[in-house]
Amino acid sequence: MVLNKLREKIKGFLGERNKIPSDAGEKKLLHHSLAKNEKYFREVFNRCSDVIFRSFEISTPAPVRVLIIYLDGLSSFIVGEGVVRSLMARYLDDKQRVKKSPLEHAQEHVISIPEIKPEKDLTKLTDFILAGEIILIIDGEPEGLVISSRGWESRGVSEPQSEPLVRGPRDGFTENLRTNTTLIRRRIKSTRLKLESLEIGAITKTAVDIAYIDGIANEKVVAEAKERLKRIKTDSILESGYLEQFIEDNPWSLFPQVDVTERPDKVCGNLLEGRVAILVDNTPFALIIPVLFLQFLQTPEDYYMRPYQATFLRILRFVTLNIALLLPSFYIAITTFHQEMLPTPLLLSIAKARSGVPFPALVEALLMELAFEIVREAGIRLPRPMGQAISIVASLVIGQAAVSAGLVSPAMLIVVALTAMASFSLPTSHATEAIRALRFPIMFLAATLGLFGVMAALLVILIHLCSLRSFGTPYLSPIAPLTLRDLKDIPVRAPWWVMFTRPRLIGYKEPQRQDVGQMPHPPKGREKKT
Amino acid sequence: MKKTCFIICLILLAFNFSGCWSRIEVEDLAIASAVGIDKGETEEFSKILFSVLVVRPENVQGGSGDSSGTGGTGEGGSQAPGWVNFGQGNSVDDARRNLSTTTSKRIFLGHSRVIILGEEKAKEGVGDIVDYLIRNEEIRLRSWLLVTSAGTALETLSLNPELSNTFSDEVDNFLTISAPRASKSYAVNVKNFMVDLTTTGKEAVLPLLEIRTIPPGETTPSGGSQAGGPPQPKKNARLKGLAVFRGDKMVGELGDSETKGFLWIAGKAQRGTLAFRVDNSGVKEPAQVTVEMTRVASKIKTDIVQGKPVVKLKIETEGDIGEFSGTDVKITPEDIELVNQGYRKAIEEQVMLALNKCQKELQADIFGFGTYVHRQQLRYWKEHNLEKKWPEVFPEIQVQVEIKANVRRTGLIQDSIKVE
Repeated sequence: MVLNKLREKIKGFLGERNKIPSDAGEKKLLHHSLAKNEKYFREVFNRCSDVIFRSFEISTPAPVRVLIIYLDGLSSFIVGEGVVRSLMARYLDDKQRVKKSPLEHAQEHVISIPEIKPEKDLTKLTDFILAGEIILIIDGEPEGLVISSRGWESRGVSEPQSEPLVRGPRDGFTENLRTNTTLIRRRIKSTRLKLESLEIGAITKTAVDIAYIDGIANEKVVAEAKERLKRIKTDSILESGYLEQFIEDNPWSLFPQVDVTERPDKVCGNLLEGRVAILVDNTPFALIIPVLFLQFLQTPEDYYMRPYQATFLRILRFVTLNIALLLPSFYIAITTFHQEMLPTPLLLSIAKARSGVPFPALVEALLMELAFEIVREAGIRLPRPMGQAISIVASLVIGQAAVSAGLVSPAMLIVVALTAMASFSLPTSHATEAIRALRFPIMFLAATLGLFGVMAALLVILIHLCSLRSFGTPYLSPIAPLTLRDLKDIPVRAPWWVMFTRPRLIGYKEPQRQDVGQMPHPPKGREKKT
Repeated sequence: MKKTCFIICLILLAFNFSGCWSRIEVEDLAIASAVGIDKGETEEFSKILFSVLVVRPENVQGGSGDSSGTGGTGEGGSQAPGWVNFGQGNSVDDARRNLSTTTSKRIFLGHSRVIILGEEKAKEGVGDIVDYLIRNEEIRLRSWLLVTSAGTALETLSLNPELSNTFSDEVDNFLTISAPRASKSYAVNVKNFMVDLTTTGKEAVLPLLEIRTIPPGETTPSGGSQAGGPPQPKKNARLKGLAVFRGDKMVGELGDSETKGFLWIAGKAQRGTLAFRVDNSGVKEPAQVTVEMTRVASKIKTDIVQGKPVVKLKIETEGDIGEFSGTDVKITPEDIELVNQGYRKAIEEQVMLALNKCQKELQADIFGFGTYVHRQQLRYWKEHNLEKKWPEVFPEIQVQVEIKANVRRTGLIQDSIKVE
């Protein structure tokens, strides 16, 4: 009841303002008169100091006035050499100019820039200017020329900060969408790699590319992704995180149903398994769909390492996942409810450590977890030189001083430290956030109901995970539903010559990825030397 | 929507209302490492005396105090890792509850590895104790049961540990590490004791624990007399044979040799020595041989001969020579046969000792012959109503013993060295 009232209040507050204002008015076309066009653009770009209007005359042979509009900050070389100079200098020389209109002629013979196209819609022209193109308008022509020159300043390709590897390519995505797509294209030299463009955000007009491999990716997933992306009506997309929250299957779930990466090799590996990548301009983070839960325990490096090591690491990560989620709860449950479960010497040393600690185990654990979260957050936000100071203060104050002051027991310190290390050892911080968030409710359950509470919480989590879907793919596959064939890549990592199929639920369009029986062996025909 | 909210509220409230049921912090526990149960002082209000050896975690493993305090564990020694407390009551549970009135923390029995029964109480019957031990959720079925020999459990618990942190650790190690090396005692846990008690045609045994007093003059073991104080007699514990039960009452004891005989029959003898003489005709002096036994297996078969059950006992064993004194005897393939014979005889002697004592004197079938007859001669068992009559039949049955003993290794040398 209370909730309903609240909801009505919220509705009243929002009123009818549940749609963003759209600036797509009636379609306006370019006028014949350059003066009128210029007036229009000057009005549109009123108080936009970064827009440059450059008007000059060319002779065709009769002098004609032209206008170029572009954003300041583009390479002045492109504007000067490719456009202005060509127009001014070469226009007169050409003999074919009589046969064509000035516009066509400029397009065909004069401007020495590869990507160029005519456009007459004023709104679109405005958009092109904002997107960094150069617009050329010639007096008396009903069309303007859009000259591509996206020369934004951008960061160079550098090593991805969030996903460093020991072995593997060192390049990472940048904020420039084009650079990112070239990084992918450089790895997948096939016409089957498709990049479909979208523009999302009424004000930011952010370019979004959907990348997939034709024939491998499930076209239903591609269509669904496009559908969900097109449904987004918002003013701005500043990062791929915006999109992620708009397109998730279960938006309230703690678990991410979209994978995020800034590694082109990871994106390519996923594309080749039949997944779809969504690249967003102005962020190095690309989205990958659909994603499986157990994928969060994998790194691209697993595929570059030798299989034994990779398998060991995958199993280790599974263990650390459980430690990160459960260790504090287990400690609380066992020390406060199930003392008989510990070996006697261990119980005695815990009792010894805890004697004199003023708080119950739960409060102790919460205090330490809180302290750890604070240190973590501070470490991330602070400028790098101060990070060291933080780590010293944290380890001294929270580690030693707290124990010697008798505020917490050394055992709890070990538990919290181990939990922290375990949560850091998971490769994707994306999934770790869910684990971190779940740790606290499980700790409360452990403190009220003991191991029974822990188990109940685990069951709830398990049921929830089973019910999740990522773009229609069961979140826990290939474990639930079980796909025996895919187990070569989930608990273990089989050698490459064994992995001849793609994941069944994702790459079923073209299941086989390589020939069977490629295990290295001596050539069969050769006779044995005796 | 309304319904979901309601359900969520209910679930959240449920956690609060449960109120941390049975929650207790570790430091609020008095962790009992051993339990002693004795007969109480009077019949009226205190039939049972329940004692516990509580561990002080602060004093365990290093810390400020030396782990082996001297001044008696009772009320004085604050340094000692153990603290003995007792309560009396009309029943075991009652006595245990009364114990709480003198203990500031909650007594937790989940870690008691040793349960010691007073001899007096054992002779009176242990049915009530076993019921409590099994019914109580804290007592582990795997904790060891022992009976004191001459003395109360309370006294035994007050002994100082010598090599381990607590007395219970020491007894635990006696039974699991040391006792199998001598085959002179037999560890029984609560569960096995219960099974033995409830099996028809089998009686139970428990190891006996004796308090041994070391005269003050002699060299004292570690943590001995404190400087200045007068030398006090040191006490320590010793495993001493087995207590034999008939029904739930202790009826007698098996000495060292008898215990070994019992272990031979049960096939539980593991390691240990057997000393005997080997007479070699033609040589003046017999050789004194000690054999270390290895690999023991026993097989029990039953048969009905002339309308009476007969137990056929087959023991197979091997051994190594541990000592061989006697300069006149050489170890040759022929003479080894003599050693084997002596070994066999020595075993038979012990087996017969145990059989005679149990059959004639104690009349308790601790070997479980009854269960073998029950299993193998079911018809006979039923016809003669042995379910009820076995205790009467057992002393009369004939046991045929067949022993195969083989000495395999002679150690690093062969013949005994010649002293000249």
